[in-house]
Amino acid sequence: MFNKILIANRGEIALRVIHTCREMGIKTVAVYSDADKKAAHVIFSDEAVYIGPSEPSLSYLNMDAVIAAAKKTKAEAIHPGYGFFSENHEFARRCQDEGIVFIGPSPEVIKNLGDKITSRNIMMDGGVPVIPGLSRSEPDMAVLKEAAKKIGYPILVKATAGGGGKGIRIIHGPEEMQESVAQASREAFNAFGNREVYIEKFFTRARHIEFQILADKHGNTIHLHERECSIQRRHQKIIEETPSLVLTPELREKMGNAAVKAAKSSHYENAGTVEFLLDEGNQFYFLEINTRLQVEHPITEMTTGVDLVRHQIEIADGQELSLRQSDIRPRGHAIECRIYAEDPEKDFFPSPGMIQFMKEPYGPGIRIDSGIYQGFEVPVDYDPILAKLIVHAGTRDEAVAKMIKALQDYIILGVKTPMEFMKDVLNSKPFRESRVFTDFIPAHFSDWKPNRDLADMAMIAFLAHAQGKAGNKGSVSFGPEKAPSPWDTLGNWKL
Amino acid sequence: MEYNLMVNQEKLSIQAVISKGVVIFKGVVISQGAVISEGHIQIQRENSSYDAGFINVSDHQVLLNIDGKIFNAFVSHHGNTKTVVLQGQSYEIEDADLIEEDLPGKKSLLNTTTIVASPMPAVVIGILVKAGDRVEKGQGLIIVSAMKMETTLFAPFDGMISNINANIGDKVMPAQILVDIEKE
Amino acid sequence: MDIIETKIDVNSELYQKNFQEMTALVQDLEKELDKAANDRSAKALKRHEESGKLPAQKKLDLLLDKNTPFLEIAPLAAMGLYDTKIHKAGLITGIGVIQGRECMVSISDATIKGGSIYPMGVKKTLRCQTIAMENRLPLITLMDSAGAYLPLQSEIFPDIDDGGRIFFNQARMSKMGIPQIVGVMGLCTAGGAYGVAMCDEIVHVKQHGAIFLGGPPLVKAATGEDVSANDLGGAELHCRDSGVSDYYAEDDAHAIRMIRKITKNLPANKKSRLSMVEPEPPLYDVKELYGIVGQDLSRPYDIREVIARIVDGSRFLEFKELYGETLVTGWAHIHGYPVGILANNGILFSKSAQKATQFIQLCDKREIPLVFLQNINGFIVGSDYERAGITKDGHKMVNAVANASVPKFTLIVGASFGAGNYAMCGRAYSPRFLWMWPNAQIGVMGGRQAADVLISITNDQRQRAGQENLTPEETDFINKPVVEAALKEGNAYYSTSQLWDDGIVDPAKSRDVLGLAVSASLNAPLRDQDHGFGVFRM
Repeated sequence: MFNKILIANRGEIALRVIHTCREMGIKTVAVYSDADKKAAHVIFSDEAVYIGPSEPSLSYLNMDAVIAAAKKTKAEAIHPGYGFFSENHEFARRCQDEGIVFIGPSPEVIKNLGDKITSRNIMMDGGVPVIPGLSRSEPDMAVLKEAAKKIGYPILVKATAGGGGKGIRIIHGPEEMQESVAQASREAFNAFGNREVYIEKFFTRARHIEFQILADKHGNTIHLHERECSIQRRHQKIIEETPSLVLTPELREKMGNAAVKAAKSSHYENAGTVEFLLDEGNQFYFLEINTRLQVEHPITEMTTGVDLVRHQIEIADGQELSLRQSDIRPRGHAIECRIYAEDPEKDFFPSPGMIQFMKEPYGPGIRIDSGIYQGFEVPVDYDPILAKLIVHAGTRDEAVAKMIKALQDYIILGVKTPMEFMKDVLNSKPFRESRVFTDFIPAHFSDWKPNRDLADMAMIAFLAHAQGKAGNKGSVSFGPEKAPSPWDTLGNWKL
Repeated sequence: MEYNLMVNQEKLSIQAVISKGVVIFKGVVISQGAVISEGHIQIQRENSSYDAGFINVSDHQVLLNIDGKIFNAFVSHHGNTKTVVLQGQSYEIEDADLIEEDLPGKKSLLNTTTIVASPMPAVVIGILVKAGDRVEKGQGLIIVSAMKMETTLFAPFDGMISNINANIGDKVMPAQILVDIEKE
Repeated sequence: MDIIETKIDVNSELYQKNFQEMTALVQDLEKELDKAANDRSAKALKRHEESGKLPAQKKLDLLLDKNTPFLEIAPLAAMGLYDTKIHKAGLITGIGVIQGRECMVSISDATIKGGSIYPMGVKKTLRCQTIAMENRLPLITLMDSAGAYLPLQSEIFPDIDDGGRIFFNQARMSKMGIPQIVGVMGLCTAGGAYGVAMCDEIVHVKQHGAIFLGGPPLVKAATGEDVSANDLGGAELHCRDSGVSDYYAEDDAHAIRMIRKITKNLPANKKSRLSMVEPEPPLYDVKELYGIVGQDLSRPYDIREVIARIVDGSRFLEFKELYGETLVTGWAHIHGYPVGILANNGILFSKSAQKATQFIQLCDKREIPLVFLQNINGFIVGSDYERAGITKDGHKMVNAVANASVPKFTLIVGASFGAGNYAMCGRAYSPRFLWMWPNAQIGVMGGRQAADVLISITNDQRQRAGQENLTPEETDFINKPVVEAALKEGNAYYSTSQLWDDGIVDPAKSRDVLGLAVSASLNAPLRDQDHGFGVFRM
């Protein structure tokens, strides 16, 4: 087993990996940029190495710096987390060349699956159903329009590389084609360094269902059931749950088998996620395989009791998978809410700032994967995820109730978060009835406004707060005395 | 005392009487942190009135007992704005009077000139418009020179030039109207 | 420092009686304060607001930082004088916080006789300037005054402490570098015009504000020129043409905002340094003062019980506890500030006066402010004491009090009679501030003592003339008016009406008043440059 692992990531996922490493007796090395000098993952690791300026391409995406950090600290393996190098085959290759274990699939597998067109072709060859579309990158607008006509609008234009909602546009008719393709291509280039895009059918009323898989180097591949990730904003998931209420045991088995088949067709190893679209007629289509640990992996861990990071490390170490498919018997229901620093009233625009105060909820069945602490300045340079709030309970209703309570008790001051919005989503009728499709937010919450019926109480709190030391700060601050003068502390005192 | 507050960009006025002193919160135990201050607020707004006891539990937490109901409010501040989180609802509150104070002062006097005249005895050295021209407020009309310094006279308001009362080379005096503009 | 151990029994009959009496006195005080603040003619108020002006109290609210204290000075000045309607002598004055800075504030109240200046108004303005000068506080004035109340001009105009002194002080303050900022929100005629012009910066409200040496009626009479107030001395004229005014304001609220900006822009003054400790409230409830001190000044109590309810943590380091026991001296903190306290616990003897002299010298040397708690009937009299040199020792104490140049604060918690008033830093000894509790009495001597002295003198005269001593009826006849007059004129309300003090305070607010005042006093240097004492007669 490894003695030391370098985590080529930051924030909550870096901390998540550090936790399991600690449990396994493995030392951890954090890497950090200028913006992250005081980040939580740096504080909680055994060693930390500075790798460059805040700009990701100069630090977290700087291959030489990360490899040098691993060499310097004699880390034997690198865990990439999600994002950054997690799906970068060149990095995986570089690790291989440098004699460092990359915790994830082989460079070839990452390369093949990272190219959406290649992966489509692999799946088609393996008999896994794929979305109708054009199975090649096509720069000719006329050909694209012709193909789109055949598939039928709306059409999704998608970057062949990457993920995370970047480089994706919906096209409702041929007139939007040119501009949308150009935009998607530009965005893809900025995000992944690759301009290539392709098109496929867009399902307005589809569900996003994904299957967690684990595969070792010895030919064992299992799935750990599904996650339903249909609630998305700007093509990025914000609320996930497992199990999905729409999967019958039969359909689950069918899709699970397809997921395993997809993994095997691509010679997959380590943890991965097979994403499917499920249309209203319960037809499912292969979307892609994410060759990394997913943001939403904790809900699978909650229901199955499996530590996915531990298995990732064991598989990377060459060990045989200790679990068989029959060992996977999920219990209860789990939900995750992603807490981003963002403003739900302003189209989820990022809201960086300093965490002035923080109070986390606790209790049975509540898990928080967090990357922040009180006093932490959320940098503007990275994905604004602060933490993930995960609950686990016996039934879906219980889990929803637990999540609502936990969201109410979760206080983060200093940045805006979508927690109020999420509470309203969880309380909404369509969610309660599990009528959840990928267009859920535009369909039900496009003109969402927060409830504001406590304005009077808030004003009382405002005035009361002004009476405290903190509230009066700065009112009579000059003068050499160290302690506050009574002009500070007495409030609106009168004779 | 009257407070004008901006609550999520809406201006609300309340009458508040704030007093300090011991308040009793039945059944509420403050387990940690020193109590910074405590007191009493009576609030009147439109037709509602409230009677609230408060305890500032910490720099960021206020415990309220409003007409017998307990609220935990969490407060952060950035500049003059405070964010108050109460039962999961979040409010941005600011003292409206302080906002007004920070606004630039009214430039009323600077804009009250209504005639185009030289500030001192001067010589006209340039005429930038002609009768019938439409001019915008702030547009240059005439250049005068005095004591080796050139000064441009500007249009005090939008309008149409009806007459120009000076020629290049003319000596002009203060208060002498050089350009007539019809206001539009 | 040791915690003062209380010996008060809150269940005792005396405590309960005292508590009821003091509660009644404090309620009276609150009633009078409320009346002074709010008793205005509805007509005047309506006219004032309809003209677009703000009421004086509203101006004050806008001027000060929110949620900060206002230490009002002489809120009951002129109470009961003139036609009993000239509340606060026509202006609100006090110390408040503007842009985080302690300032002296004076706002004329035009809803009282159009803001006419009465003799007590002059006295209050002078007091206000004295506070600003002694404590180096910026003076912010909001003017709206019809000018001197002419029927009483002889009491306002000519003497050393009359109207002219105001402008004299303004010139001196300007020289001292004490910022004076004025908002012109109404008429400022003649003297009012100088009062404004003598300030450093003038904010002039359009239409309402007018500054001129002679108002339109005078101009008409003198030259026949018919001119409106605005054309004669309005904001337009003074900001654009005469240059008398510096800032042009649209209305009262705008002017106040500008004054706040001007104040913010003042260079920070260096406050004097005192080695503070973390402030803490007294160990005992301050309201217990009501039960300790009652209305009857002849009921004795231990002054340490009062100190225990004024100072931080009820902690007190008593100096010379066993010597000259009728005066308690020692060190404590009030709102975190170190102070030296001198408090009466009986009449003054030679030893207590010597002790006071020593203690005052110590505090002056160490730059520690002095707090005097007065409850004094005077110095001991009698041949033994005269022989022992009580006058000599009294002189030492008076010399020390007069010359001590650290900030001095006086709180009269009971009696303030005779030379005791002087020795314990009465008004004439220039404490930075002086307040009274509502039960306090002030005079050359107590009413009964005065009557006794009168009767004994009369009997002496009669004896010399070979006449009989006064009959009980005659005694009563002499007694009654003297006692009544002493009660009336020695009463705290009479004192505060005459501006012999800076206000009557609720005993429960004593420590706050002192703490605020100590903080304000630190805006000035802690001691004069030529500090030291006179020659002590040994």
